[in-house]
Amino acid sequence: MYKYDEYDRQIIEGRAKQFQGQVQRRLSGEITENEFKPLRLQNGLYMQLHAYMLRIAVPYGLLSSKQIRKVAHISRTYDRGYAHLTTRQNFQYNWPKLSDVPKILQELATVEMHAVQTSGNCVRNVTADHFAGIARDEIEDPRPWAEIMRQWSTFNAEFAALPRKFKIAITGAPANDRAAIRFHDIGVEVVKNESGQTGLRVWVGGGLGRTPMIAKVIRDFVPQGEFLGYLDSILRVYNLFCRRDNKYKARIKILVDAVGIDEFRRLVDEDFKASFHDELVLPEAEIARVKNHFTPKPYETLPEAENQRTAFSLGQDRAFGNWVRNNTVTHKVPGYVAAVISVKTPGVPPGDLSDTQLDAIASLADKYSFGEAVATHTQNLVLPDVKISELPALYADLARLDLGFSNFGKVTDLITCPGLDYCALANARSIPLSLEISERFERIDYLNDLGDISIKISGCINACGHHHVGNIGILGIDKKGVEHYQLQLGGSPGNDASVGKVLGPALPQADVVNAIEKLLNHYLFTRESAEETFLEAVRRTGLEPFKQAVYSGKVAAE
Amino acid sequence: MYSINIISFRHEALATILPGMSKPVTQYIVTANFTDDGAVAYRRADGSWTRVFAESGTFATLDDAKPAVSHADSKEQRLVCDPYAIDVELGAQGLAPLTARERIRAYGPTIPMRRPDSGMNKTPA
Amino acid sequence: MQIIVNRSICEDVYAVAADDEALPAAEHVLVSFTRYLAEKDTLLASGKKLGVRLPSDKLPKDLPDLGKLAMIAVEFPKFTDGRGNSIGRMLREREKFTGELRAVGHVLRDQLLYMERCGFNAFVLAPGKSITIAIEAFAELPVAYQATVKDPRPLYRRRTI
Repeated sequence: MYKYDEYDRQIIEGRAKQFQGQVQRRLSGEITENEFKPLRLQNGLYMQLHAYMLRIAVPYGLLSSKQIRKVAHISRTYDRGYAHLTTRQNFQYNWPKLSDVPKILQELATVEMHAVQTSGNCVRNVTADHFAGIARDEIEDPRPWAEIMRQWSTFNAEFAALPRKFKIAITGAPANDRAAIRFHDIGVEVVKNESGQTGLRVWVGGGLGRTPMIAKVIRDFVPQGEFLGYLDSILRVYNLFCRRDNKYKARIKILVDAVGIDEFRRLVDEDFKASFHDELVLPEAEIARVKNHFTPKPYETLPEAENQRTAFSLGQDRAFGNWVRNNTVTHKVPGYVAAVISVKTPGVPPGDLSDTQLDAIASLADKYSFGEAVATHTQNLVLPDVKISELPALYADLARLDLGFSNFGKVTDLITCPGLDYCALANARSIPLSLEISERFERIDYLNDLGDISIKISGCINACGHHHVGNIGILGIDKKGVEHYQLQLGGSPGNDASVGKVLGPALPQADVVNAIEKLLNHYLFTRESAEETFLEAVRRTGLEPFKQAVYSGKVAAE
Repeated sequence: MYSINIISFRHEALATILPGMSKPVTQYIVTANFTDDGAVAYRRADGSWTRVFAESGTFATLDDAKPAVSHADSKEQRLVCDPYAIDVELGAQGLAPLTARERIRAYGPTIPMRRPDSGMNKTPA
Repeated sequence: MQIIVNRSICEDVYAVAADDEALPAAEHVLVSFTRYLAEKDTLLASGKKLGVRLPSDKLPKDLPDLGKLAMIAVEFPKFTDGRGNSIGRMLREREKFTGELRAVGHVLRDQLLYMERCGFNAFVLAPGKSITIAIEAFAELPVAYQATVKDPRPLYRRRTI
């Protein structure tokens, strides 16, 4: 992974010191809360319902075991002993004190971590495919490009006060996008042209929130040298021309939609022509320097071991078998797999890890996966490079930590925002609902039978739980002070991008899990074969039969 | 086995009425977050701030509460942030929040904050 | 009034001329964008060192003959409004403006470093803000990843590989 050099260290340490000064000036009264707020936001510090919340950046989700131990240590020393995985591959702490945050940032700096720009109207964490570098369907590892974008966007002076937040995602496997690039402000694919040269395909104007939109391609092939200059131009057009009067209409998707992609492209090209000069060309040497930080691991030369993996999945030990079947993913190097640590244990808020678990995961990363792990935007962790022969030992270790659940990609692998239990923006609680769902559908045979299906829960229209792109999306709303939930069906974040459609009137909390059970049972009833997924069935039949399953014979909640 | 609280908060607030007692009265209180640790703050009648909802000083109308809000906003920023006034119910059992959000602010998250096995026995404040 | 120019505190030498009044006696005069458009030739022929306020919804191309100006004051209506950053950079890099580039409006200490990297070399702080505290801002982030107006090489060109 990328190792800081002296410049990077200076920048991050300078930043921690700068924030310390800002905190002092806030506590002394030299600056007001209104003046302090954008500053603390640019360091990832939010004020939530009953505490501050600090979001630390995990660039493209990649973590070293040393960093995981530091995350554990901080949770233990400055927080309440746990950390939360977010839907953008970051970690969050829910209970830091303001006066401790500069110390936390300094501690993070010692392991090359920071909280820069994880909030505020600036470019946020660049996220990437969580199987980057190891997936068989990958054209090229996107992580060096993610790192290049991270450096380009960090403390970018020109774009420090954008109309609104800006989110970028990248995939190196365009045929099978796992990074949801079509729902980001800028989405990037690493591609090759007919001559075999590598370039970047750039999409703009995707997003969720109040007005979900699918991004459009702005340029099919940006040569590597022009990439950062081209991003500059997109950001500049956005910075200059997007409206700033209404924060719900200030994302780039609004501008692209308002002027149309052709006009938007024209504006960007015009700016690019006027501004791109030799000094801005991204040199081969720099690309090579960054790529050098992502060289392949010292893999052993092993024979192909898929037979062994299959044998494990069918063996006597059913718990282990299910875990291998559901939670391990084919790796491009023979004899290896990626192992998914499901952070979706029944009874525990999705994405939460205790300090003990974090410390243990750091050791597992060291023991099994070259000291690295990857946070996914679906609130799980991946050990990317595990030898198939070591799977039994790894599984036993995970089971001891209560992290051996075999539900990766299944119905209880849901994602949820923190919701009204924590978040000042929420209209309804989301975590209790997620706990109820995982409890109801705990049976592994049922999970396997249902196959791949995603449930995504948001506690408000800001959609941090990505409910628009869940196969089943759930949106919490406030009806006269009482929490209700609206169901959506048919969303998907990948290549077959689609925004879910509302199923029917919102349901009170007591009815939601029953409604989901009806949906799932209807799916089992209606599917053409065991191979037809829930999403495919919804697309084939439309929503009406599913709506009937939930609402017929029941008085609507309206 | 994990069980969740599915009570509608508004109904629970009204349940504080006992037969024979007069109806609960709407009052207003001022709340904010403490600047240092972000914890929920409630303004007492004497102008000091507490973490305990039940100790809130009450105002009869929203307008009565406004000067306290402005004062906190302009003069007390070192102590508290983002002050605002809310309506609450004053019933036989004392003050009760009127919305799910204010109930969670008063009494904390409704879910377990820690795994039982984490090995660290720090209880939430 | 004290302002910051080239990282030092000094007196503002520009006298503001309202739209309808005669030009003051001072050598340096600041006029509004509207007045400049209406009276450009007269103003430029006046022999004064001329400064023009540029609202943040205008672009460099909306300012004719800007090369003849001694100073451009770009407005930041709210400190969260970062359009001026792009405008500043465009004025320096594309228009090759070499005069004083001043940030005015809601200018706070914690934006100074970014503004400077976008080409601003003069700053009028928002009312009530301490100029002596503000001036410390410039030293805070010693190294930039990106090209700045002062050094148009991004960091990857400055690293000794």
